[in-house]
Amino acid sequence: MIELKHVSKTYGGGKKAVCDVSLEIADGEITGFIGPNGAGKTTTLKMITGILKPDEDGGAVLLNQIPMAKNPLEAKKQFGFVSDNPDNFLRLKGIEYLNFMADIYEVPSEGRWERIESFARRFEIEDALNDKILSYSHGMRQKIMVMGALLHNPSIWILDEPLTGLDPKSAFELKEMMKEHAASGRSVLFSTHVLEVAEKLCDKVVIINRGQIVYQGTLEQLRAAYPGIDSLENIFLELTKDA
Amino acid sequence: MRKLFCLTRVLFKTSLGSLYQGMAGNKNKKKNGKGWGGKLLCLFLLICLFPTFIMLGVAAYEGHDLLAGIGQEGLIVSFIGILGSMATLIFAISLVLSIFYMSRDVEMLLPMPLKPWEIVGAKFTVAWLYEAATTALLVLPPFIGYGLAEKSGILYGFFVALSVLFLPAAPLVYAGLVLMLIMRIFKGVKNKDFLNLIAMVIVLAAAMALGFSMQSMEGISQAELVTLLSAGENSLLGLVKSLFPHLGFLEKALLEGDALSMFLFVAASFGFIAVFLAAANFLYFGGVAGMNETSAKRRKISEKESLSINRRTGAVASYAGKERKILFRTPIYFVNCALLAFIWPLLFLIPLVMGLSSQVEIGELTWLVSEAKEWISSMSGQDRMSVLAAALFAAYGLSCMSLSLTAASGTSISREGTNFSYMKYIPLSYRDQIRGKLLCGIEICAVGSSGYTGILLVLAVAFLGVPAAALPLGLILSVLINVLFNCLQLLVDLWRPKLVWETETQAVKQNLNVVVEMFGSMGLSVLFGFLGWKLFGIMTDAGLSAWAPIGIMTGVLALTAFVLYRVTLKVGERMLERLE
Repeated sequence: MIELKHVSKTYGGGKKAVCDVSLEIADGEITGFIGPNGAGKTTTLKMITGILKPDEDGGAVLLNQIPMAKNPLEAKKQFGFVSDNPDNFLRLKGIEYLNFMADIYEVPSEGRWERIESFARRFEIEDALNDKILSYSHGMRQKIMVMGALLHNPSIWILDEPLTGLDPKSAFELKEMMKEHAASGRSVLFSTHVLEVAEKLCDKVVIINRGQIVYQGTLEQLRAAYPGIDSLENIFLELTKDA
Repeated sequence: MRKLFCLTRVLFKTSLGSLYQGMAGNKNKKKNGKGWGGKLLCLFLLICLFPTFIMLGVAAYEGHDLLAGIGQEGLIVSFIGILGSMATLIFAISLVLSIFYMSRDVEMLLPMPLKPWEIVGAKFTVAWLYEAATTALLVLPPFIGYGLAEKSGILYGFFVALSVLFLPAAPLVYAGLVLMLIMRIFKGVKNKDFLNLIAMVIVLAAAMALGFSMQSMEGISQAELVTLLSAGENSLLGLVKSLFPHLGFLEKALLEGDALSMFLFVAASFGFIAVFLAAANFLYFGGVAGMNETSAKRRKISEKESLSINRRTGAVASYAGKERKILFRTPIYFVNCALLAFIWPLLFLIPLVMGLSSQVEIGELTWLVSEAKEWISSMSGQDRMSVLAAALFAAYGLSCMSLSLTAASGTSISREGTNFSYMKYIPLSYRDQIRGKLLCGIEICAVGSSGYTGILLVLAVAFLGVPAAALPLGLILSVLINVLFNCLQLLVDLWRPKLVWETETQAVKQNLNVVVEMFGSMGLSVLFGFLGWKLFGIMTDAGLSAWAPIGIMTGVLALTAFVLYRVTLKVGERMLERLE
């Protein structure tokens, strides 16, 4: 479970990127985080993951009830995070990167290979594990980052634009994995620009605009709130029209 | 032409602008009154470099007086021109490789409707301005020294300004042409990292060649120097002169104040550039396309291999291993941050041995060594302790020198670049991450400092009869200095990491932190060395055993290293926490 309580973020220069955001991502649900470019999605995800520190005005980020500010290491163990840029650790081999992540997240030797193999099979990159990530395509880099984030079997998945660059088969596999993860009673939060994906995959959506949450709830509730508008796309445009 | 200017402006801001922004300080920080870091850094560097500037200026001034006696003072200008061109040529190879081939913008520029000469022209201009700024540091002080000795006027000053601007053009053209040819010829090579490493090794070999030739000029007589500079067509200087024939115009312009010669020098520089751009039209696209390709076998890992690969390692050791792999596999990082730790004896000892061998016969040397051994072995009491102290002092000096040449810890935060964010979300404390980075740096430095110092001490004990205690004590000293220097370097990089860069070169070569760390390390070495030497003199003069100053200095170093290690962990943790 992810909880954000009155969290704000002001960048140097006084620009308020996120303003008094409160959120609750419940267990057993897939939540889509949508909003226009520059709305504050990535900033919010970075605050949840500890990359950015929220403003010191009483706000709090909790992961499975563990406060990020007070107990960052325990909080960080709760989630697996895939950033929007897969061009990391390019000169490590795929297997070296996975082992590095496994060591950092204290994954035991027993069962480590089986887990790596199972992911590699699902994403069809078994043959590439022994090559440097530099030789991977964008999609393959995305896959290896997803594998590294999920290797320690975290209860919370936080994914920033995870489907970008994935081929249809791998995108399907990842979506299936997200569904399986939520079905097992754990939570998934992912940002996306593709409304169709959010529509088909998410139990709930959070819409952010200009650093403020303008909607959070189920898609059915959203549609009910805008009876005159026929598509999710048009509702989204209505909610973010002043972006 | 408009496209060329537009592109040059953008490339200057993105590729080299960060260096100057770093000097000026962060704009956002300025508003909070914290933008002084960059200015302080520049001031510190200027203070550190000032003695070198003065030395170069005085050398030219006194050289003028010396050669004026035989009417050959003009050779000073000739030598400055050759020195500037050679230095630019050596530095230009890695700069051109970085800006023309390794820069991230290459893949964005290639699909744009731009002609090869426009891309190359813009990149060349950026590299040229950078080289002009760095070459100025080397040639301006001697030009000023010569001008003062000649009591030259405003016209000389104007010509010097033009010289500084146009001197790097021709060497940059040569470096660019050679690299473009190499990249075009080896287009089929899949592992471009290997190609880059080769180019880097060429740079180092060129630097070594320059070092050897300078070494061979040591102790040269005035008459020989004149002959070498004026006549030696077969010498290295003669070769440089034939590579840069337009330097003749520069000499004439500066010596005689001849405007036509200056015009010809500038025109010749533009001629070099024109030839370069014409060649680039044919060569550049063919070599640069697919620069990010690397070799891949696409072979499945077997069950047996997986058993050895997937063994769990401690988090800090795994972190250090990751650092080491990236450092060793990224050519630009390896050459600039680690390679010198392994090959410094080649750079310093070989010229020394060559110099010695040219003055002393082998048989004579063997006799000298056996005499020295006999003499040292016959010593006793305080005299023998003095030999021990001298050996330790040498071990200390060698360790300090080799450590100031490496920057594995000193660029470890900057090297992360924009990927730095992973350090924030992995569940490994900042303290442990700093430990991992230090461990990697200390390991690499240990080879260069403790490894070679150990070998030299073993040789000194075996062949010169130096007291055997020098070996363990020398190794302890080198380990302590290793920890101390690595902590110091990491603290500097934590203070102002360069996280925004376009090419890996910018993270390690165009990073002012490295220069600050080098001067800081050297300053600390001199301070401890001076204190140790003074303490040794005072205590032994007072009739105390030499063990006392050795013990005290080792203790002081151990305490300083321990305190700095703790400070690095504690302060570094806070610094990392604040970085966003």
